[in-house]
Amino acid sequence: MQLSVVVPTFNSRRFVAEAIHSVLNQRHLAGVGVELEVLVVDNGSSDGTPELVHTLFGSQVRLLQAHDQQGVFHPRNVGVAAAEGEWIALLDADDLWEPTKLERQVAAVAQQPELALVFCDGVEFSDPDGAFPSRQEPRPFLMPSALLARRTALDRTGPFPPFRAGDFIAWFGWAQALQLPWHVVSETLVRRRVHRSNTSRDRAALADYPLAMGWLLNRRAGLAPARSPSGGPICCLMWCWPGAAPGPPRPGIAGGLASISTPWPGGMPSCW
Amino acid sequence: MVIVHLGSGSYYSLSDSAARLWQELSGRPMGALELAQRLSAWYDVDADGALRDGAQFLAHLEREGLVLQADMPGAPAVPVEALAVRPPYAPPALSTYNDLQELFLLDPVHDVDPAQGWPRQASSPIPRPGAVRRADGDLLEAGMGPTIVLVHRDRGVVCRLDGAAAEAWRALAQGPRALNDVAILAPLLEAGVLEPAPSAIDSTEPEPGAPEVLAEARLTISHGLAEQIRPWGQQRRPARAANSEGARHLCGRIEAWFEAVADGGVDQQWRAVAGEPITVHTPRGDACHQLAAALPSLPQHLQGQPPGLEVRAWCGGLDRASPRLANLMESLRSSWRTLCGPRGEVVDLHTVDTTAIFNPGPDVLSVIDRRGGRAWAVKLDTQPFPFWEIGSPFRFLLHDHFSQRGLQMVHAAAVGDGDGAVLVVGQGGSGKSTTALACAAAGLRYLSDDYALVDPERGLVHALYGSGKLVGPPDLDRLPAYRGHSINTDSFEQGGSGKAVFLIDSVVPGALTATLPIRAIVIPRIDPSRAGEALPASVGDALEAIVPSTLGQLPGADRGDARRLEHFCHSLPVVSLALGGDGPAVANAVREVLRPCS
Repeated sequence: MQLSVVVPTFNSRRFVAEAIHSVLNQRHLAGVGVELEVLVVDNGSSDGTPELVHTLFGSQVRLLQAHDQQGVFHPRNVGVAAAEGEWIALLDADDLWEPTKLERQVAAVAQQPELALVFCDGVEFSDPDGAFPSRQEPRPFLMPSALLARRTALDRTGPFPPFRAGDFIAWFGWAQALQLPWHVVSETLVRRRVHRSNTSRDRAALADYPLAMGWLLNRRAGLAPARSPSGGPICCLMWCWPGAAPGPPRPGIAGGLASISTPWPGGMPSCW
Repeated sequence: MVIVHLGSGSYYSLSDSAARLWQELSGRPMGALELAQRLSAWYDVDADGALRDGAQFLAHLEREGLVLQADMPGAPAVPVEALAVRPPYAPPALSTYNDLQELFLLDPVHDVDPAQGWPRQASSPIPRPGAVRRADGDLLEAGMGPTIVLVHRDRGVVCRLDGAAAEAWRALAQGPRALNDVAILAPLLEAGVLEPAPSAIDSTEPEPGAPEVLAEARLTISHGLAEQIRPWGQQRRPARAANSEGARHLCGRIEAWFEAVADGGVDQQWRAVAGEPITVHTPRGDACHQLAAALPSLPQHLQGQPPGLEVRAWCGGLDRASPRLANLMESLRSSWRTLCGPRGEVVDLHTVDTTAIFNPGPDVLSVIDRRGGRAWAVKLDTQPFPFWEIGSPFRFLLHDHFSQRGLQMVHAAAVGDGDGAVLVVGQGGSGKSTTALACAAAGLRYLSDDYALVDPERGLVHALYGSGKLVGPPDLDRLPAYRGHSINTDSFEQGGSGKAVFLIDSVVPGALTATLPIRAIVIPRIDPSRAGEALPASVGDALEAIVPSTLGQLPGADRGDARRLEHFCHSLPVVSLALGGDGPAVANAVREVLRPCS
């Protein structure tokens, strides 16, 4: 069985070698008849990432170029489209696999051949050590770096939707709506790097969360994408900041609310 | 409309009337009565029904944590004009979806501070994680004013800190700091110049924001030095041993090796740098004798004075070394990492009186006995010295020797007129050599290329390397005077793949000048459309252009070098000079810079 690994990169020079090594170091694959194809899809890095990958790994990886798109969904889609494997795994360039990641997931598929998507547990680590809040207790990783997907499942869901945030969440929601059988291998097989540059989503990218959820709701409702024939949005989307502390309670009028406020600082974000 | 609550991982879709009310809520606090007024103004619904639905909707929003009770009285109701034709009414409805909560909560963005963004946590806990300057590691800094340049040679990282970023670095000299100004400290942690503080720090500083302070901060981090630094080791930099007896004994063995190699006679050449005679000894007839060619010749007034430094240079001949020495040399070639520090410092010879640097690749061992005024440069294989050793010979030895005298080797070219000189600085490939050679061909004086020797105290530059290098045939088209003059066998002119090395004295006799006062630091930029345009640049720009490549390429460089470079950059005007066009145009641009200064 052929298994393709898609590693999207964007200015990932600092991490990518470690990530690819963690793919090439996967154990016991040949023994269970797994043939590995590694695709590195660069999304227009300016730091020499593709050159570094070529220098270090040469023909061990297929190096593809994707350009002019915001968001990691694009190189992922390019990689999935080019992948030849019957199974496809994803790995973000800053995350790492344990050496038994694919072996354990392939074993899970052997036990439950009906599975379409297989995830695993994972942990976070701060880079540099101790600098960033990271959750070090294992938890189910329903995220790209933990996913092993059947090619036919990805064909059914279609590509990851074009949002800078929430794209994978919306895609997974759609996969659930299609009732694709999925499973989480409860072993810690992925380590997610928490560092400065992978997570610095700006407000504009945050705004894509509700867009992505709108995409999902529309899909679920069997609607066309969220545009009216005239080109204007038919659904207006909003996101909500977390974490604002409630103010002191006030006596209500006739048992109802005296007044309310919206829960984010700095006013309401604009509406699409 | 869709709402995502990143705190809970729930998302919501709103009906048409709910979406309109939600938008109303964005502007100011509102109560159920006001919402009801709007419903009955926009839709075909009676006041009672509107009040009931409005209150229910508001309660639903509050249960979901989408609105909060306001800590202020409700504003007076603003009358709403009713629509003439009100569309059919459906109560405001909020559909809640919790199916993807787990995925939202996995996303790091869910617990960030809204104003600061990731990685600042929303709850701003006190105490906070802190950062401290890295205690070990090969870290040098230079800069006095608003700019500091950090050179982290273990990682090949260069950081330029301006404004508040420089202040933050200075404050770190006092000890650990809380990770408040994450925008500055986090990248420095990542670059390895800071490390996490051993324990959390109780932060009493004002909440970080100080956005106006951060706005003044500038931080540039480059990893480009990694490719320039040779060799590359991860060991700790060795400390110099106080007892040099064993090392000097080893030097004696090396001297005996040279004598054995040169048993057929010695060629001795006299040269002079900074008013000090230097002799270069090579086995008679050995090609190594070319190494002395780039050094300035001995002027008449110094003849008869004893040399300040005697250098022996040769290639190969390991079979003539004593067995123990031959064994050491073979070990250096095969496993230098075990015998050398991170910059190639040969540990056995790293003492207060001796220094040895091994350069793997070309396999050149440079040894200096400071007390004895003697040095040895031996190429452990029998290949000829590569072009960069011919153009800029004995760099490690001369750097060690002259830094003992307070003189600083600077990665720069130096050219001038009768009254003064400019230092042309910048990374490799920025046009230093071409500029210097163009200036010499056009009648300007020439002091050095690649490295210049600077006296920071007196503001002087001394001739060091009377050579220059060109990269390829197009350079010769622009500077035809040099055609046919390259001296190295690996030159592209002679069918090799290396740069072509030229001796100024053989192309432009008399151009090489021993010493001139420095008038300015020139940072060339290639911009043919503005060729000749000279703009003032900052001391920070000079530090950035000079400090990393000088400290990165001189393995023996230490805090003393950083101090001297800092002092020297702060004492001179800095000019950014646009270059382009042919050789004479370049020389004219440099003349213009020299003119107002002289």
